[in-house]
Amino acid sequence: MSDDLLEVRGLRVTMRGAAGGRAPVVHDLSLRLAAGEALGLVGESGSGKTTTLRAILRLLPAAGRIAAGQVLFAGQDLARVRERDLRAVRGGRIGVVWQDPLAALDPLMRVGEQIAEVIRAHGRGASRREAHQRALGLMRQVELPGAEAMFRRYPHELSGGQRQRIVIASAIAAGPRLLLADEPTTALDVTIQDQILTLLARLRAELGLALLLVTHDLAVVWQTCDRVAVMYAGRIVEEGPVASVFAAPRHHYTRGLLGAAPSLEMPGVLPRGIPGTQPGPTGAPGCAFAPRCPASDHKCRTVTPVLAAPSGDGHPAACHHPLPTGLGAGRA
Amino acid sequence: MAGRLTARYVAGRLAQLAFVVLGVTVATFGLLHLVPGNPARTLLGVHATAGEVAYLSREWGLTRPLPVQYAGYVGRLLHGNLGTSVYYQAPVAGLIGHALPVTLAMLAVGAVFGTAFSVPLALLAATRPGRPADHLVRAVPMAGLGMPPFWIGFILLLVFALTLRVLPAGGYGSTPAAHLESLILPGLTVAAVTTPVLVRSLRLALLEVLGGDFVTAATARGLTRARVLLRHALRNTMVPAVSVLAVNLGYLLGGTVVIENVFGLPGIGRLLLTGILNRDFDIVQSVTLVYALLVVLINLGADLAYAALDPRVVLGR
Amino acid sequence: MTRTLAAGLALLAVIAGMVACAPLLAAHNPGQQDLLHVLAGPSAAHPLGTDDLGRDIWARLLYAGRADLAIGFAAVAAPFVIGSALGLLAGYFGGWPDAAIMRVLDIVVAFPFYVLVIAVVFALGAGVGSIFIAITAVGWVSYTRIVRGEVLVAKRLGYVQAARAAGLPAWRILLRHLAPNVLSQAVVYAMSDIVLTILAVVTLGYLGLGVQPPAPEWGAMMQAGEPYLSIHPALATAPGVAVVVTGLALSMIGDGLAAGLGI
Repeated sequence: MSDDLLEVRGLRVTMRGAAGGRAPVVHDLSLRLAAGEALGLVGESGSGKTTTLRAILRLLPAAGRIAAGQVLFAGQDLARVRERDLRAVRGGRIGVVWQDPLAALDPLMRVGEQIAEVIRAHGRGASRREAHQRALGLMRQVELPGAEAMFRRYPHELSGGQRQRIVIASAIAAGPRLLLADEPTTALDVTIQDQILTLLARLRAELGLALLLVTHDLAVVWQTCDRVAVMYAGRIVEEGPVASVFAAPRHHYTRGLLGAAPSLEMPGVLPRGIPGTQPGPTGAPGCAFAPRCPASDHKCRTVTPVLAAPSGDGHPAACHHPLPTGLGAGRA
Repeated sequence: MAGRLTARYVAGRLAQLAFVVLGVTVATFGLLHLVPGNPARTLLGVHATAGEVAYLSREWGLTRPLPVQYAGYVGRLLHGNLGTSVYYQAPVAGLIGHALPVTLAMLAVGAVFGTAFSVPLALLAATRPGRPADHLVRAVPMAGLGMPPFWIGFILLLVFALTLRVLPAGGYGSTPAAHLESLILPGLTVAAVTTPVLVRSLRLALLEVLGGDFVTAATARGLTRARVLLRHALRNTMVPAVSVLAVNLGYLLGGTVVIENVFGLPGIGRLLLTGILNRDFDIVQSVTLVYALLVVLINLGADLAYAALDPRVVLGR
Repeated sequence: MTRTLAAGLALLAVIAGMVACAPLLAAHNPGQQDLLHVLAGPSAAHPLGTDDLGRDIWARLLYAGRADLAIGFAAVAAPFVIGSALGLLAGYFGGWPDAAIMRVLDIVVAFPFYVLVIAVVFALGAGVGSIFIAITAVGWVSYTRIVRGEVLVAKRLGYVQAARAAGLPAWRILLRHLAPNVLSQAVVYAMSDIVLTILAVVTLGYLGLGVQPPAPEWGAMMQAGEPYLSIHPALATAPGVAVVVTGLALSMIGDGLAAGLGI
């Protein structure tokens, strides 16, 4: 599809282990995101969703490496562009919102400066004064009260919600088309979480931003996203419109996730309903979920299922024995 | 100043300062009584006349009880009287007044060189962990710490002054330009002593900061590598660097005594050693005191620097 | 055992072996003067040449190593024992013993290491005994700081709490339970402290305050060689190289030990 803003094709990420060998943590992962669209990437911790997000901008930790695949964005393959071209994309065309806003801000720099420096890094020739003025405007846009006074504060002097607003302001400062958000509300108080999600929704509408939201919280996906991709052990196991996936999950893992949630209107957090624990993502053949899956058989343990659309209606799932479409399993 | 100081902190810090300074004077006072036998006799040597010994004993008040002697010592110090040099026949305060700026200038030049060496080396190593450059930089502290400061001075002297003949071999010159020229080799030596300690701590601090989230976040905002490294990462290692320097200050400052001697710089370290050679007790005692006061003041400065460098620091809770 | 530690130990063994076997390795007596052959260059008879009194530099180098290594290692013992004991007491009992020890420590650390050592040796009179006293008077503070910090951490751990709850007397908890567990850091520090101490002995020798001539000592040899730096540099540089190699060996051992203990 040519109207895709971002397309990840066959992404494979490996990490150097303590023993020195390289272990895959993301396998053959593909996803696409249209302009203005919001995609939720859900999964338990360790499923590779944050690694995927970081790989898009080549922000992997030192041990991590993109072993294969393409990250197509605005006609370039971000997995291969030169560092200097990547710099224009980072913060310029793609903004990032992090899980822990306190850790994502330089503790020794005034928060306003941290927004202004993004403007100066991307706005060729923006003077210090212009950057300052625009930073103030951005701070108002993310609904921070008393922008002038707030500009001069340090991160530790702000509340968690205020810090996350600063991070968001710095992420949108250079006018990006896409926002990557890694668990943007997890570190925040419950009352603040909702405000931040509302703010993200408003900014998306105003600025026409696409959003890739990584979270373990199904409620956040339900509230924020158009489509959802479920990750398990380094692979996407199910993908489709939020309404469709939530109403009629096809992968047994997804059903387990939703089953763990009390209701569709107010789904809770992961994942009490599934016995066992997620294995580390290995290269071994077979479905990684098979040991925990009630429907698994010999084929599941030997042949890796691929993400495939069903013959009839419904969305794709990587399962040899998918749940029948139209079975509202999420309401258990 | 970015951080804050509370009034309680300032009061507590000053009280501690006063106590340490008092203790330091007790120690320098006690120095005289470490001298075996009659200090005046021992220090003046076998050729001194009875009159000379009696004069010095009276001058030091050796016949009076210790607390009275100590009170007299502190009283003299409070009047700015640091004793009299037997050898120079001059007040020690004046001699130190002339020598101290030389030592401070050497330290300043050394600090500039030390920073100029340490920061790039630490950056080089920390941005390439486990690679050859890193191993090389990590070997520097090991090799450097095993060298006596005066040995490093010898080598520099041998290479730059005696072989290449590009810099003066010693002395201090008489013009500001000559002063500066004379300070290059001693400053390099000071830097050579400081660099191992500084590189080691800066590298560790940088590694920690570079692995931190805000460096990734700054990179994700599209800042240049230089800005991420210098403005964000390096800036965040300044606090640990200052504290390591403060902890090692005693060792580093002590090294300057010998360095001044190697290069014949007329600083307080050289004054101390000429005092020792001439058995000039008042000089030894007062220079020792001045060194301790220097450490105390620089440590106070380091504490204030924490508050200046890190807005999160609230000294005094 | 890390490679660094092994290399350091091997290097130190070579140095120690050489100075121990000095009479076998050197053809000359270190004090034997030969005023007809002063400041001679290297020759078959004198591998490193002779000094300003015609003494064999190689022989002096080896015998000097005996003095420096022996004093360096021995001088660390007293600060180690005294400093660690004070650290144990301060950390375990807290309260006024802690306050008193730490205030004295504050005062000692206000003096630059070399300055205080030099001043104390000067007051006591130059010589080996004075060096021991001066290094003990100044050197205990590092051990006290390290051990006190370790004790403060260990006190909160289960085994000390259990020993206290079992009603064991304080001295027994200190000696049988705490000391073996908290001293490893002090031992690692002792390795780097030996380097500092040897450097201090050498520096005192260089300043004329250490081992008194004509007994050979690296620092004193460097002082004696300094005037001849431009015409006969081996006089000052040979003992310097000896110091540097010894310091490197000990630093490697310290680094290796620290890495091995995961510090």
